[in-house]
Amino acid sequence: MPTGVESPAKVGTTQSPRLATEADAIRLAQGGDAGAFEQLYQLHSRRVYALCLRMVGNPSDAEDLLQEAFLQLFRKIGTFRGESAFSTWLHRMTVNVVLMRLRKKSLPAASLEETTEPDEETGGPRKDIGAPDLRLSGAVDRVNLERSIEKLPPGYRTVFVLHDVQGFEHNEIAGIMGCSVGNSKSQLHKARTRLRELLQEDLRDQARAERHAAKTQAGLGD
Amino acid sequence: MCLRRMGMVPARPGDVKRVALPLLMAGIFAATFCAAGAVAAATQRVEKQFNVSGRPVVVIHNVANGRIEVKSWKNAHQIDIVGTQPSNKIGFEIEQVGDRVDVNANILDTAAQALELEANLQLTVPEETELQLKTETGLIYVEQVAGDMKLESYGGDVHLKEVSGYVIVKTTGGSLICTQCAGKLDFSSISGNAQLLQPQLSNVNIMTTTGNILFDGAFIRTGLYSMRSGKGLVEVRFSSNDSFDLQAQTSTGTVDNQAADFLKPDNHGVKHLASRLTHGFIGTVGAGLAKVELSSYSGTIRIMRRD
Amino acid sequence: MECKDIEVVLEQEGLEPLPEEARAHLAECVDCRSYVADLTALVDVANKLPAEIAPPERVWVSLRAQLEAEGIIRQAAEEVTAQPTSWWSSLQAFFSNRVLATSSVGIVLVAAAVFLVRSESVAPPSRAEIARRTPPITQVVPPANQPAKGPNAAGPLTAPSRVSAPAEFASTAQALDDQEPLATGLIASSNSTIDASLRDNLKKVNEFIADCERHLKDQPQDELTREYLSAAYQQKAELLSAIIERGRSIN
Repeated sequence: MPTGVESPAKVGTTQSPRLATEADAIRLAQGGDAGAFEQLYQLHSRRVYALCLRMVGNPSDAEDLLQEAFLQLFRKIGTFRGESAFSTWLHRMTVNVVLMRLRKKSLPAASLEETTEPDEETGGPRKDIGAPDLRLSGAVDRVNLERSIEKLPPGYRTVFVLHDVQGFEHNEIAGIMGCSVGNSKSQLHKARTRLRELLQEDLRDQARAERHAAKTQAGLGD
Repeated sequence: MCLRRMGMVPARPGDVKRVALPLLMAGIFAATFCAAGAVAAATQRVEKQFNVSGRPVVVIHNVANGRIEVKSWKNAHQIDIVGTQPSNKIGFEIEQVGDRVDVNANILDTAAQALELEANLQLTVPEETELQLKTETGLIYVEQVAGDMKLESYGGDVHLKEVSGYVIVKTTGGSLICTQCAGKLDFSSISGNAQLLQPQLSNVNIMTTTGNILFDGAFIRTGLYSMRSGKGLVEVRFSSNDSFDLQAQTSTGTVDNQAADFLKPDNHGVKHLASRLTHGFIGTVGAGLAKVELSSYSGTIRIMRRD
Repeated sequence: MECKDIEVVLEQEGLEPLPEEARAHLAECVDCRSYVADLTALVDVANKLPAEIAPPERVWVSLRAQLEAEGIIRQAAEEVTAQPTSWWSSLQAFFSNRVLATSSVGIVLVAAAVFLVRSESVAPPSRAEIARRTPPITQVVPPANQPAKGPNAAGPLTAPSRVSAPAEFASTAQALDDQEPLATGLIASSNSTIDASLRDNLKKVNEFIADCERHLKDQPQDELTREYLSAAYQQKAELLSAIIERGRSIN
């Protein structure tokens, strides 16, 4: 399971007391208990919201998706049999909701099939011959990484966020995405490689902008 | 004899039968024809098309009785659904949200007879469609669909042909026949049987309490095959080209190795307490690349070579 | 190992720990070393991104309103204390992954737990105590045309008399036996083929359970039988759940 920040379940504004376990909450939610629903929401909403926000890039859409995901979940909670972890089931539903929304918006480069072109000569990783030093160590920060994540194709973005940001294991991601473990590993590696390229482009753009600014400044100073 | 013909003598029972029976048959025929006509007149048909993209999901539930048939076509962007029901006592609700299509068959008159609650569905879907079907009785038939599927039924049988993906089938008493299927298969039932014919499955997990199991096909290298029946027969037919490790176990049943000349017991050196209490057999064919586990509580495990 | 093999290793094994051969190649190849260093750097930053972000409160407010409007949120159930009885906790443990389908069953179980947990004695109720509180079956046999209501009603398919379940399954077996009259009562008077099939399958699984229990009494170390028995309990739980769901939908 992911090892993110664990927050204690908040006691809601309803009259039901704090319940012992998530299993209790699920059972009572299946009976329609308001406090149980709220507890499940409090347990999982932060993680789901983080996923939605990183997938769609703006808070307004992310809030809509968060609500939609939980609405679908709570409508179907009577069918939950415990075949998988509740969290896996919830995240699967969230990913479906998000991907459906992204398909409707027809974002560019939404193909899950985008691949990294291997170097034709050696078959190894792409090399940036002749380019300025684009080592990412020390140059990647949260801002440019989040910006680059937004540019990933949805499929890559989902796997990367689930694994490297939210800490799900590949077997869990396979359950969420409905794919095999091998597929999850492959998509993750492609996502990371593509992110590297996006970050290098970002660095190139930054370097170019700085050089231009420096020239302009020098010109003004003459 | 002449007097009888002239009606002077009371007709014998045989005579009455000879006259009445054709009339009765005619009456029954006419009644059936009229009833069929009435039913035919009341048969309702609904057809809908849905535009989809990517990997659509089709969910069917609450179909009380009747056949659900799903086939694929090359059109990756459309789902076609045809529903027929013999009466207006059952109604279809078909709804699309994004790439998900929900089909519900609802009983509109709880006093309706079983025949009036039959609702047949024919679906034509893109190959990669994910299916979630739940029915009570009636056959579920799926052909050439490559998406993941979860198929549930109480008493209805499930027939799959050339499907692939992760397939989960759960029945209470319905049986499974799976022909030329690929991917992964999970089947569980209380009394249903399972037949896997010419499979290309890499992962098989079958459990039935009283039903029988037949696996007649190849074991894919590195595949995992677990087939368990509480009381029924578990039969595996392999060919000399296969390569698998086999472990067969039963508590009070028997292991019938009809390929003893080919499948020799191994001494894996693994001894555990249960082996003293169960009838067991461990053997290897070829390089042992796949793993096959057969078990039965009290039934028979039969191992045969096909060629 | 060559440069193209590094891709394969990274895809299948991830970034750490790299196998010896891969590390040896990286020690010699600047490009691959740079590539791996870049991936490691971006993953390190990604690991530090917050996995959780608090959504605005208004989302829950709106969601709750929608749930109430759809009738998904109903009145709060009775309080479940944090002192489950031993049989209740084992029932929970068994059913935590096998939750019965309908809300009515959930409420029945919770109500039963509340009744027993709030009883005078602090100690978990023994079977004798439960039997004492349960009215004799003969007193609640339903009229022929009416489906039986309540958990204590007799049904035509109560579990066959059998030896007691193995100790580790005792509470599960008891819980299922307690549920069975409720389930069978809902479809007792139905003539439909579906219900007949469900009754027939319940009979089969009960017979199988009885058989396994008898065998385990003689051969308590037979793990294979133990596995089958566990699977049979699970199947019975799912079947009872299906019967109850069906019974509620048609009654």
